[in-house]
Amino acid sequence: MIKIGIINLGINNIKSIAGACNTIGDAYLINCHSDVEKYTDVIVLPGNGNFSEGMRLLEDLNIKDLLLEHAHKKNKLIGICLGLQLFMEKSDEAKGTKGLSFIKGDVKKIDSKNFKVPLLGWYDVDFSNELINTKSFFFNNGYMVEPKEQKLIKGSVNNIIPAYVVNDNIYGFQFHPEKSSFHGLKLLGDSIKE
Amino acid sequence: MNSEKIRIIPKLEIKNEHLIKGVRYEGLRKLGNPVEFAKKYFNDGADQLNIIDIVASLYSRDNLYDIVNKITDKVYIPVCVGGGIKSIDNIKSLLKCGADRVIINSEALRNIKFLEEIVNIFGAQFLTISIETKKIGSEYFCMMDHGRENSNKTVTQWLSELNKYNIGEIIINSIDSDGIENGFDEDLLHILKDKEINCPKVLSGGLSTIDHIYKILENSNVDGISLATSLHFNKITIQDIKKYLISKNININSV
Repeated sequence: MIKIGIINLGINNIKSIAGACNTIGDAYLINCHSDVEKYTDVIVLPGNGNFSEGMRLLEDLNIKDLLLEHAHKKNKLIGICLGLQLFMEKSDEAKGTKGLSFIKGDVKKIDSKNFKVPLLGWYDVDFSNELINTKSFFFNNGYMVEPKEQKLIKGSVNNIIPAYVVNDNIYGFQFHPEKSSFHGLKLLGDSIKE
Repeated sequence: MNSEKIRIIPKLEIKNEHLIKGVRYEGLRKLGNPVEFAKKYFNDGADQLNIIDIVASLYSRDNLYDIVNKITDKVYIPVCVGGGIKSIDNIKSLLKCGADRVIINSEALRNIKFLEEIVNIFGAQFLTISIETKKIGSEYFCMMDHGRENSNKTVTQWLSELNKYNIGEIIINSIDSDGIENGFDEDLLHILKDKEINCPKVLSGGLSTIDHIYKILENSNVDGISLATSLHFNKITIQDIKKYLISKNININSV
């Protein structure tokens, strides 16, 4: 069974993501560095809230190095919402705060000309993989990622908001797959198992 | 503008450990285990669940926490919880049970500063305001404590006040239409149309046929529809509502 460690920053609903991961593999919570179990296959970084607060908590809980090490070994990392944003180099939301830099590019505020900001609700996501049908997923965010390499974007809302980003062993969801019904759970499961 | 999908939101009113439904908030009938209803609505394609503890202020909250915990074990869509929430500690306990957002009515009318406190800690998207209105004379008043107390504020006064705050969503419940199955109160709908509301809005009360729902969505910019009686008593199903609305090109999440 796939062993999944879920980082708990203590700032959001962790129960649903833990429940979702438990339908896919054997999930447990990581509250600090020493909680990490040997032979963890996948680490999930969920989160909602502010970019600098997220980075501060990763450092305070001594989890940042753990993530860097896990990524360096080419083990799988999954970021959800703020988690994905923390994978980038920096964010407009927190000038001067450096991100984890697993994906080249920045986090930008969503333009309110195109969307009701913050996004809060269900939007259609189109995928570059033809095998995945367009479906609606649940979003809850005011910022979005802008990877430098376009080809890393595997799913988006209207070709404007990157929604599903894959860079080798690093996977990111801008929406909440754990709150997006059966097809959300399926995409999360496929990403963890792939 | 890329619009988000209009949501179909089952409303589960809870008293002690039972799902209940009344008519105009009175004559409450026990309908069964709320966890079973929640699972059914999730499987049927609901976009969100709203859970309201109608006697929260009178009894212990442990029942509610237990129910929310059991629901979020099985349901993978946003779950919003309200009823007697008065403190940040109440909210933190609900978060632990897997709630995604809170719904506030009475405490907002009594102490509007509470809203700022919630938004500062959890963000605006976390906060839904419920307005429960009853027509008295020719005015629509905002009621508190599940319709038992009048705040003496009218809906238009209260909406103007709320516009100054950063709020994720407003649900407007018509107490007079609740459980009546006769469509949403048209006079109230007129008032809401004329009134600027700068956050998403959800309507609740009396919507019991697919036609009621379609007429509302065709003619107004509503972001969600809250349903109770019609779903609890199996008069319509979420799947049928969605199939029909999609055939009419309403921007709704497919099942």
